[in-house]
Amino acid sequence: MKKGICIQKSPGQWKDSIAHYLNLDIRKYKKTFKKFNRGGLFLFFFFLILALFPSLFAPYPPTERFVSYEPPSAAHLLGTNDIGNDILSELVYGARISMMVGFATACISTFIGLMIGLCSGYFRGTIDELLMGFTDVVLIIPKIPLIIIIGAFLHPSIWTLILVLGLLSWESIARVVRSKTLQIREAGYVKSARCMGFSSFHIMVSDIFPNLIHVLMPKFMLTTASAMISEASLSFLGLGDTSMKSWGIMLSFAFSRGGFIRDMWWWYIPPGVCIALCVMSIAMIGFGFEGRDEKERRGMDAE
Amino acid sequence: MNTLLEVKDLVVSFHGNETENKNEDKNESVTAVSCLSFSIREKETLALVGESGCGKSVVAHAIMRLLPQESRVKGVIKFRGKNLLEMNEKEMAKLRGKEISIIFQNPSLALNPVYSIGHQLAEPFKIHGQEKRRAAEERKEEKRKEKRKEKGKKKEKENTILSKIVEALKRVGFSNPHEYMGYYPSWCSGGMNQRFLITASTILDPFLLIADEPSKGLDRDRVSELENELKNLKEMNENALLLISHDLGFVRRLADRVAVMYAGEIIEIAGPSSLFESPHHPYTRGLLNSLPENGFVPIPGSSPPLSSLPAGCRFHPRCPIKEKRCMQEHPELKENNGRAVRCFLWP
Amino acid sequence: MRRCEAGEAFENNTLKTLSGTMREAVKKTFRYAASFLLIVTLNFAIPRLMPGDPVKNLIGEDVYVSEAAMEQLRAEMGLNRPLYEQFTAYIGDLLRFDLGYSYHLHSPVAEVLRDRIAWTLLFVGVSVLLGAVLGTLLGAYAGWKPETKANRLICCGFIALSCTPPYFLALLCLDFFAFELGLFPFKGYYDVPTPGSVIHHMFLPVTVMALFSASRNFLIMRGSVIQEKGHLYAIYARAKGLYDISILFRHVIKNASLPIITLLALDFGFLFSGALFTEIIFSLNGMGTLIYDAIIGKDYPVLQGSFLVIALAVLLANMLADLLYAVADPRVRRPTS
Repeated sequence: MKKGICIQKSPGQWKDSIAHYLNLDIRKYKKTFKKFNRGGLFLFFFFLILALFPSLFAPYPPTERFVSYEPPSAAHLLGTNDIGNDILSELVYGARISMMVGFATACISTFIGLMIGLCSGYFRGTIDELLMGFTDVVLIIPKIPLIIIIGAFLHPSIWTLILVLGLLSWESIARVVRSKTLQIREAGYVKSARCMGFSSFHIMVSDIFPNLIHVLMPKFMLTTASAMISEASLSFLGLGDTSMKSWGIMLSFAFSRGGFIRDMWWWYIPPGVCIALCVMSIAMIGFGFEGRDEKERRGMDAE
Repeated sequence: MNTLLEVKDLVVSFHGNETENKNEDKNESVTAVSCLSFSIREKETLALVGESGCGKSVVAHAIMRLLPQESRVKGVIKFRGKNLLEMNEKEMAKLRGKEISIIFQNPSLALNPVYSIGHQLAEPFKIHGQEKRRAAEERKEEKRKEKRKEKGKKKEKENTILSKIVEALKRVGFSNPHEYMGYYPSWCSGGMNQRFLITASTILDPFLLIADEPSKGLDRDRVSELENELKNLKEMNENALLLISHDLGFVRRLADRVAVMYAGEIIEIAGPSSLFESPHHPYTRGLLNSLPENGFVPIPGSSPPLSSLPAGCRFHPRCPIKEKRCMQEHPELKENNGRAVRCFLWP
Repeated sequence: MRRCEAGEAFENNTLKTLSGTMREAVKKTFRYAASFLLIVTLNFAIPRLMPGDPVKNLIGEDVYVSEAAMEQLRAEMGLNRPLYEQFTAYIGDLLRFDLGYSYHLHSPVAEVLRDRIAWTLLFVGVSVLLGAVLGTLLGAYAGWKPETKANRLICCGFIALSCTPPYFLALLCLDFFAFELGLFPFKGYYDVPTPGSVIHHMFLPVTVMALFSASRNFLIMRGSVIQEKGHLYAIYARAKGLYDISILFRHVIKNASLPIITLLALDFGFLFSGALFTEIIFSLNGMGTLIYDAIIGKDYPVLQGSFLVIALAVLLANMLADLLYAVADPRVRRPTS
């Protein structure tokens, strides 16, 4: 009350501020995303069911052999590949591996990102400087080239791929978690918990973590999406696990084992389209979460 | 004196287009301003006062047609004989900044952070300058040769703009304007930005200047500075001013007439001395009593949300002298010896 | 009196922020140095820490050498000596641009890389620039009017593009435009080294990469513009009399594109990787094919050298972006006097 003369403000009334205009606008923008989101959710569950119960959908076991290089027919809807596997069955079974790589990677990187972000945001000071400095340093190192050399030295296996991808893609999560933690730690309930003498660990787990979930979810989904693309790319270079045929490996084989030269579009287009669609559905869900987060924040501002 | 701006039966409503939000009834439109009428004469200062949230700023934005697309504006806003609400966006854009200008409440946010002060001050000339200057320079141009003209004109143009900006900056109290023109808003204090903003808005000498809560967030010294600046501006340029504020003392010193708003409508219009000395409407009285120098007595209750206004007089739930009909009928704004009041109890 | 006060407040402000800027700059420099050190260390450590004989790891697995030759190499490369000595020797080699010797290609790695990297940098640079311009402009327009049908369609398109692995896109384009329609050659950077031939050869790969990079910029720019246009300065620009789209171009676009600069640099590594795959698909004779062959041939020295060079390129791009940002954003740059 510097001014002295001021009419008091009453709660719960029309806000004639510019922020309100912005608010309306963002709602509109979210609405456009809404539509996609439902489609994304539908697609995602479709792929999830494929991944969980491939035997229900695949016409043959993925390792069963028929005549090789068959074009599409009633028996083999997408034909067969160089060693006579049914491509449709391979595609259905590939969903599990591709999605597993994505989600496992996202789990690892979310965990690391959460730990680093939480510590850095909660303790602040020197720890924050060090951890964020480290994050910045790691952020600059180009991931895919690094994975390429590590992958080249190690024998290709899906687990090393997951581990290396997971260890290298946590930076953006750490940053988001940190900024959110900085915000939450100033909230009344965290302060009161500190006053009551709860340990830092307890406060971080029971007071701060539940409030981080809604910023973690979109990041988790987007990390999954980008990990799936990375997996597909690395598999294409022959750094994938050939014993577990993901969509990326299928594409790679189609390219290196004659599918492309023979113009067998039914071999190389379906896995690529599957990757794109699956990644898109996951990313859409991530965007959806992000939109909801935005809304919550706006809702809090308005009060 | 001629009427410069006449607002008649202005209704502004907003459509919150949320479909899936928790409170379904919010879907309906909210009327922020209802049946608002007032007029401003040339060179006059009209102040619009009221609590924050009563729709003052919405009026300002409605006059400039700056409201977002979700809003519906009805009524008539007549500016120099033309109805602004019937103009298309292009015609309106030509008017904005040249004939009507606005000063926003947050100067540091209203200036673009990535352009220099000089650039932003020169912008009004760049946007509106062409027509004016063309007419003035056409006569001179005829005498000169084609190519020479092109180059010379540009230089000359820039020089005249520059000298005008320098002059305007000196007027608002900057001793070395050339230095400040290279600065960016984030390098300057809020008070300095306020002066830059005022300069930018008045540099084309508009007929009407709208000041939307110019004193908000400034400390006392800055407010008195601002007051002097606005006074100077009025004396020198003789433009009309629509002053929107909740700072009653500030308004009292500047305004020629004061309109008090409550819950989206005007409840009293009067000259400042008569309003402050003998307020008629119970709300105005309550407002004045809530000032620190008058005992700091707050009005009981709070103003109603615009989405659910009370029936009858909008002030009746908080009114100390309400009667039965106040709860049922909505009073009209009645004019009597140059002042108007929206209350049954005042004839 | 008033002026004096304003001046004082200003001085104070500047002093405070000046030291803040300096500290920020020192911190940034320190971080870049740390990144550089980390990259070099990784490059040094990986072949020595990975399972298998370090000698094999350093010369490549497919190279056949006798037991005696191996021991000789081990001594020559100093692998018997303690790690810190190896490290100083390694740094010394780096300073002399000695990145090892590829037994596969029978030439020093530095020379091999020097031959290839120019083309790749040209390819990446052109695509990144095109993608930035395309993505920024389209994204700005889409963010300015997000509700129009055309813009929503473009938005869907770019989301789909950003979710597709770049090499798959390249594969589809190669198949359709080069094989089916025969419009473009499907191999190499040129037939004859003339600009026309190079453009003809580069057209498809550059288009694919530019689209891919545009899709990322598009989404960021769109969000950024949607956010910026609600700011008060955009409304004030309208109040000054600017008409619709000129508000976007005169006021909003510069603010909204500031985050693009940083993201462009961070994305540079990602795009570089994407370019490697695109090169492989289009059989362009650059880093991508070099790495692909090196992976197949287990030619570790080449892989390591490539990683080092790419990482340093990304590091430089980031530093450049920081400098550019400081020039473009007055909030970072303060008066020094």
